[in-house]
Amino acid sequence: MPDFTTFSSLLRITAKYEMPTVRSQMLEVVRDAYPETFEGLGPSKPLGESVFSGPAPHPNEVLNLFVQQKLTSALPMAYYMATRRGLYSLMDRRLPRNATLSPRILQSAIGGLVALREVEFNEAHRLTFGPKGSHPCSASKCLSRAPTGPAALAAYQMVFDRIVGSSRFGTKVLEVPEFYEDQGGELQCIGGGGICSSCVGRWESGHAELRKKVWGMLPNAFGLKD
Amino acid sequence: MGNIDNALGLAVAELSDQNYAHSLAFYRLWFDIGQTYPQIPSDQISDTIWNNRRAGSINNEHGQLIHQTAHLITRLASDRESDLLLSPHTPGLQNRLSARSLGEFFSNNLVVVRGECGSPLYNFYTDANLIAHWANLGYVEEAAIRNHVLQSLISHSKLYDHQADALIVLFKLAGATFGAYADPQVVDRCFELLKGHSYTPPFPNNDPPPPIYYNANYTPPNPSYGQRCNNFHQVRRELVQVSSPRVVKCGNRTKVFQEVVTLRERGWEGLPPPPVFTTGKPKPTGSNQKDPAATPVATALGLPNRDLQPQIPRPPPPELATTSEPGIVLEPPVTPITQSPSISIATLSDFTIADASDDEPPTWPTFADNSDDEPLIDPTAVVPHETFYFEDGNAEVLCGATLFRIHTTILFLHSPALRQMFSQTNLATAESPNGCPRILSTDTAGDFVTLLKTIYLPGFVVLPTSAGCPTD
Repeated sequence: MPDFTTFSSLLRITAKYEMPTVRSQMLEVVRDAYPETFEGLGPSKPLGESVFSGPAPHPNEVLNLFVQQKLTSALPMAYYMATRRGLYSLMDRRLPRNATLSPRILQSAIGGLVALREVEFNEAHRLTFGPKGSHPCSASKCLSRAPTGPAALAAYQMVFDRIVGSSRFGTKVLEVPEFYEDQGGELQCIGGGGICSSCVGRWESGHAELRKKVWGMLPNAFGLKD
Repeated sequence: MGNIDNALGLAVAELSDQNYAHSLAFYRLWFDIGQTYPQIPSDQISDTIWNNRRAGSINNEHGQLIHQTAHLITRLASDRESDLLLSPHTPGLQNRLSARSLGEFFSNNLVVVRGECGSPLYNFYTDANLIAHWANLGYVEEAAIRNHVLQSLISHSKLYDHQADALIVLFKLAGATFGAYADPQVVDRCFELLKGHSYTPPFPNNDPPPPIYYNANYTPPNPSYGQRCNNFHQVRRELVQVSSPRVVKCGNRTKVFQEVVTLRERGWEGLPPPPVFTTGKPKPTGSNQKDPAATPVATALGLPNRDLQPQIPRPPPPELATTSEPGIVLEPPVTPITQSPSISIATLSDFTIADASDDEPPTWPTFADNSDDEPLIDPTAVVPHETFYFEDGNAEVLCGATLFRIHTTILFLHSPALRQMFSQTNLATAESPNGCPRILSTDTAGDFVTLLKTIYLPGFVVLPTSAGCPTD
């Protein structure tokens, strides 16, 4: 895989000089790193700017290139990758010119970031505490058996933080959160291991649904549906 | 060092209309003393103003949204930047502070939507006040006024309390500026939302609400947690505490809103006129500027008043707060974000090849054409490329100051566009300073090198999905 400078050069020249064979291979790489469908988001697959060799480009730079080259299928993911770093990164004036977003793109990116964060916050509540009418966990040793107890609440807070993170940074809603942590060589559920595997499984499957839902709303969120 | 820091901060914290001159002298004196310390940081001034920007009062419990000393803070920054002693330490101070306010404003908007009130909420109000003043002074970039500030506040499906307050602050202090530069549809939408907005009431005696714990039978309704938390007076990080979503009209806010409506109806009479962005760069107009013609003209047309000149000419700030290029025309109006996007499944079109026409604004960062960054080529500065200048080539290509000499027959094989570029007609009419025709290209030398490497060097393009040498 070439570095991003060469890659962007190739994209431009293959468009300008009508070299379809090379270009189709470039687009294949783009499709792989910036997938068009939810199925393309493999959890262990390198995505976004990390696929380029050499120094990773700033996601704004990739977004600018894709907009300029009108790679519409890759734009939702490229916008998402740019918003992952948050507002300061989107608006950073110290970036070089080709990584500075134009007002129109910046507006779409900020609008999308706000929309994704809202969904993320709202859905994370439902995900953590379970849907309306659901019963507390029946496992005898699970903290969720007493969901308003301090230990359960502390665990819920950690789960929520894993999903939502800090508002100061961008959204990471498409990434799979890790609900287990290494405790002396043994994998334990976050929150001291007091949550049973069935509850963790519910969070994992719930988050998978959330990711799918968010993926579906990306084009609208970034104003790409027109 | 700590004492100096404190003293400088104190000068900002105690700002008032009455003692402004005293604070300025006090600040100057302490900074002078600070010069005896070689380690004094160059951004000391910026930091002390920033860290103490909340000084003064905003008591939003009683409908008071205006920061009492925000105008003095911007004035202090202006005086610091032009002060003989302090100016070497404060290049671009107002631009830096305004950019910082803008960044924090957007960020804290999200934080408060999430439901973390307390400090972020008060910083948000402070920054809304400061942004209004910076906007009037020309230090908020035109694109931000036009495309981002108001839009960010009305981008949710419902207006949150703090966003309604921020809109009131912005229009009350800088209505003429936002009225002149923001999309009229966006301004209309702001007023429409404000008119229909109901505030969540504060709890009695400013007490935090009694906690109601989520349990397995509870599903948070809409609006979200952040909406109900807007008037909490402490940071409520515990996500399990919610308040009753009682909604009533708030008398004080309604009165303030009516004041803003009246201001708008009177063409923002009495407010500072909008700044002038004639060069695409902020033109500080000075806080005392009064141009009676500016406001009516701008607001009557609903357009930026680009012909007005500042009465007090001052050099533009060294650090620019804009990306616009000189002489560009206004950007086309953008579609305001009026509601949250709905959920839908993506069905996108296939990849498309970029065509020559590009309707992006001139501020667009171009890749293939950097001609505006490069001066006219001096013929004596033209340098042959070290690899791709073949003595036996039959045509030259000049990209910027780099000269290539290539074999047209080889290039013909790879692309019809290259065949067109090196057609007999083009070659016959081209200049031939080195004995062979020279074609001028708009490509950068880097792009053209990549093209030649793709053609001349088998295996140059090795992509993960390709099996061998994929040249065309």
